[in-house]
Amino acid sequence: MYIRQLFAALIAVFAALLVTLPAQAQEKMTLQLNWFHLADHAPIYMALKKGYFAEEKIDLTVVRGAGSADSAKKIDLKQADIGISDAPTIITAISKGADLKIVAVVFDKAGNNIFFKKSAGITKPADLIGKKIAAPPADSHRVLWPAFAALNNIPADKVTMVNVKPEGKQAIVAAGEVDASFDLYTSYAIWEKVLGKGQVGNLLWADYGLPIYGHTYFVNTETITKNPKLIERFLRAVHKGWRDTQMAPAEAIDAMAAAVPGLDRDTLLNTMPQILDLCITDRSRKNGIGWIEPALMAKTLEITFANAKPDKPVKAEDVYTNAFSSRIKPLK
Amino acid sequence: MPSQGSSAPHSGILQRFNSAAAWYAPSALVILGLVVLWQVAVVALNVKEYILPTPWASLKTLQQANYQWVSNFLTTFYAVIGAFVLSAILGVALAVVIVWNQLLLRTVMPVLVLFNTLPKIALAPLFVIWLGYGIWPNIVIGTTIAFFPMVVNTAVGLASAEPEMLDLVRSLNASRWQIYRKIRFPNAVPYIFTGLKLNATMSVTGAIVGEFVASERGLGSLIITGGVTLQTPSIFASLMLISALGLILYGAVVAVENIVAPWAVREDAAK
Repeated sequence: MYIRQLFAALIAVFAALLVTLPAQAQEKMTLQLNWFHLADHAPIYMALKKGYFAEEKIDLTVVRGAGSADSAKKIDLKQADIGISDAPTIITAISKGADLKIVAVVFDKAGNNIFFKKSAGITKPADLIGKKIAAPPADSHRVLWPAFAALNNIPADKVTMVNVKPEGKQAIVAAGEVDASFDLYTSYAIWEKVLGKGQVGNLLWADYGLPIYGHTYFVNTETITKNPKLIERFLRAVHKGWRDTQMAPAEAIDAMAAAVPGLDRDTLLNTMPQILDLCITDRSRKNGIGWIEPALMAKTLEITFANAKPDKPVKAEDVYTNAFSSRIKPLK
Repeated sequence: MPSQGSSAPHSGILQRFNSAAAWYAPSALVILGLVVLWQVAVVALNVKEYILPTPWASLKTLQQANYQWVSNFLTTFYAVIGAFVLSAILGVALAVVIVWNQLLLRTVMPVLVLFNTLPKIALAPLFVIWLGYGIWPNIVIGTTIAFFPMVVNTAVGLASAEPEMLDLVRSLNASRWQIYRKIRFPNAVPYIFTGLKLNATMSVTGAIVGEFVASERGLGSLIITGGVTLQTPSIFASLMLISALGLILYGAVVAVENIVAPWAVREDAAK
């Protein structure tokens, strides 16, 4: 009796193994986000939902982040396979000996931006003179600010920077403790939620002469030599996700909200138009989503080191490669 | 025996210095050993400086003028001292009040315990919205963290006077105030110093927590900026200054205790 039961159990185990075997063939991969889940991460979940990662035989784990600098460290220490960080932060890390390389951009146009109450009477960068600005430490605005200030003839010492926990930046502006706050343009809907509809003023730095790259995908240089195909497969899947998100933003947000608990679906969906504006541009229509424009990356490098000398010289070709470009183009 | 100390004051001071040196030598050696190990390990394992700098590289950043060490140190120092003094005054005053009256003890104490279980780090962002940012809000945040051990220790000290002694002076018609002054308070002194020692280190933590949330300057502000710009040596240099600040404040409490209440200092207790 016992032997028969044992056989039955063994057969059941083998059958279960056979069913799970195809899944085992998938390669495990970890994506380190730059920050907690925001709407610009929704295309990743769109790609997961549509099975694009499965098609590429990637079993993807998405890990929330704690700022660009933190992500850069984690990829350098090989705690994840691919990361999202601000280009200037990665470039700074490379100048400090990190073994990193940018393989695609998330946004073709950087979302660096300043938010304030419409009533603050700020309409151009020069109006910021004499103001207090909340500068959340976990993003690259502070690194880029000297360059932006110089371009717009704002004396650096005429603006007071206040270190603020990133979660507190809207509240501190709403409370009137500071006049304005650095924050990505992609957070527009969150600002509108706190300050009120029609009450949000902003200056997008790209509109005031700061041509620069912001969020990018990057890897450890070891991955480029040891597993280059993995990068190619990842980018193909994620860019298909972006392509589809442009056509159906709500579906992408829903896919993310289903996978990540505690998200404010409506606010995230409201930020989607700005996010797509920054990602899908004429350049990405021509060269494919995520393509890195050499001249723009060179400019990013120049601006990153405009006010802070690098620890060791960094050349543009040390910083990025288009070798893994997916060439996937937007549908509209 | 009044003649004891006056016969050879010099040798007395020397003796005290020697015994103090002998007391601190092992701990100083251990700290030095850890620093040397850190230096050797980072160099030997070839760790990138932005991941973990050597103590020497961190110390060298203290020479760099662009960090404005003095002004940043003073900002944090004022907030720490403010939190320390405010916690001490509030803590002792509150302890006196609650030991004075049983009803207050029963009503206030649970509220204090409840308040102490709240994670202040989570509250700090709210303080910034309510009070703004700067030295004063940081003093308040530091005080919310540091004053609880002051209250509890002082209250225990005041309440744990020997009952026989209390009965005795009551039978002699001592007033409540006299009981406080002659019995309860002297009994509480060692407890108050224990509270002050805890307060010294917690005030430092509190001030830094405040600076992490919002600040224009201060060592906490430098740590945050160093984290974003990957200037890791400056983070460790700030941490060294913060530790030094905590040690000095703690040492000052111990020194005052030695003078004010030498009977309360026990050789086997932490100095």
